[in-house]
Amino acid sequence: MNTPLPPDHDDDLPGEAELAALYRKLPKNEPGPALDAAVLRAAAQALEPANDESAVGVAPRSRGVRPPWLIGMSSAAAMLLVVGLAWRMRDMPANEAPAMSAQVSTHASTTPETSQAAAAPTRSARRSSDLASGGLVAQNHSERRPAAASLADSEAEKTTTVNERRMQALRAAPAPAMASAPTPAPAPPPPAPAEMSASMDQLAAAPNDLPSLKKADAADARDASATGRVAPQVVQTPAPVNELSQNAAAAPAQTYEPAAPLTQPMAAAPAASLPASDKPTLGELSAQDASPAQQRELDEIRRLFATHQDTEAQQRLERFHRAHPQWQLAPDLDVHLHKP
Amino acid sequence: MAYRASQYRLTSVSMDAVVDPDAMLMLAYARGDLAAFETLYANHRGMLYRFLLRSVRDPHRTDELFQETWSRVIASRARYQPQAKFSTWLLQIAHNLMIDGMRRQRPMASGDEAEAALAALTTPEREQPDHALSDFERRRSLQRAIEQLPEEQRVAVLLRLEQELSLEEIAEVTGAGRETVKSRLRYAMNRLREVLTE
Repeated sequence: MNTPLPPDHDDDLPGEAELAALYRKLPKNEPGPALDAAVLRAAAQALEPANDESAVGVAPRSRGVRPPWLIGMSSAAAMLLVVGLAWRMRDMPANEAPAMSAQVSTHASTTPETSQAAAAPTRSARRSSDLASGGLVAQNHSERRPAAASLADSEAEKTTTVNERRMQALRAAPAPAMASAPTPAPAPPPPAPAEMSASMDQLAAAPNDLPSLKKADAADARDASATGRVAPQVVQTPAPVNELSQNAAAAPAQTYEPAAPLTQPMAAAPAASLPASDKPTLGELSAQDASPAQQRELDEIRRLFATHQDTEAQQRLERFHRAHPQWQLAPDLDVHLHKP
Repeated sequence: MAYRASQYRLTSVSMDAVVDPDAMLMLAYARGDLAAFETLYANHRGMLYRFLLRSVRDPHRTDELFQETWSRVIASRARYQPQAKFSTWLLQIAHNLMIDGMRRQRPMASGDEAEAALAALTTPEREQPDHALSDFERRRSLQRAIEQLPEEQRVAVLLRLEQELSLEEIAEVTGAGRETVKSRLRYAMNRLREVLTE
């Protein structure tokens, strides 16, 4: 049986009474009068605002009154903001016109390579791609219609010169490229849009009717600017789909490639007078009439022969010959073609 | 007798918070009664000052801490809730300020400086009768021994001897556990007794 333990007198510490008695004999240091005054003054000051508020019932002065310099600074900042915005809004149309004209000139002076690469999409597809790629520009134009309308007029003037070049190019286009369409087309060309065919008809029926062309193109430019399309589109026939493929040699040469005539100089015009039966040799054509893609292909074939990759070179040469039977190959290639 | 006193201290902590006259004075001051604060200040100024002086052993630092402690009391008058004795709350504020100062690595006065400072505050020696010289020496010894205690033990001893706080109250002020406080007090008092019997 456990006996209950005495209560735990934890608070009792041995020798505490003696130490406490001695400690109480220590001098009773107290704060100085200055310290007392400081504390009591602080206590009185802490009560002062409360007394004032409760007595008068008015909010402290610092709550309601704003310093005058703050009002002045705010006014100046607001004025600066307004002036800056006005300046920015005024500069916007002026800044945008050069950018638009630069884009127009970029489209008009398309190089043969870029035009060939871009010849594949139809006009409608190109328009949609323009809309997609230049979405921001289109959006900006739809927001600022007056600027776009004025720009359309300038575009119409620019497209006039483009159309003049286009007409000359159509006249100067080499006959084989237009006439000798091979029967087995690799893929049927996508149907041309109605406006495209109309434009082509216009060009074919009245090649010298420039005023009507101007009107049409101006209307086209306005339409383009209204729909957000910035640059006028060059009249192009739709290219076969396989022309888009990497194998440029397999692309049918019979496709009308408008970019080349557009960028060709006026010296190319006499080539149009050549009869279709007179086959120009490639050497004659290579400098001016052969498209850069064909020329590149022939150069590539030559390079393959030079590097002794005869099999591939032979295949590509034969493929080229099948695709372009009207071209007379240069003697160095012709030898390889008729090799057993 | 001491047991009864300590028992009373143990059981009356929460009751003290309710009936503590100092707490009533503090509440009166919060309502705008400046005279209540003056009474409150008069009741506690000496014990707070001595606690701080013997803890930090630096008169200048003691003045700063003393003023800062009362400033905190004044600033928090509107939020004051009498959940404990006013003296406990006051000493807790002072202790926290002291600890903050130590954490900022402010060097405390060295032993010689502290001795000189405390000696200057003691009763002039010429006023002491010759027969009281030994008692005076014992007080000086106790003072030195308290100064040489570790910080935590010194605070516990000062709160116990100067303020006569219970273990629970010391634990509340210092933020330590009750048993920790008791252990610190045991070590400290043993050391003080050793010094006095040397």
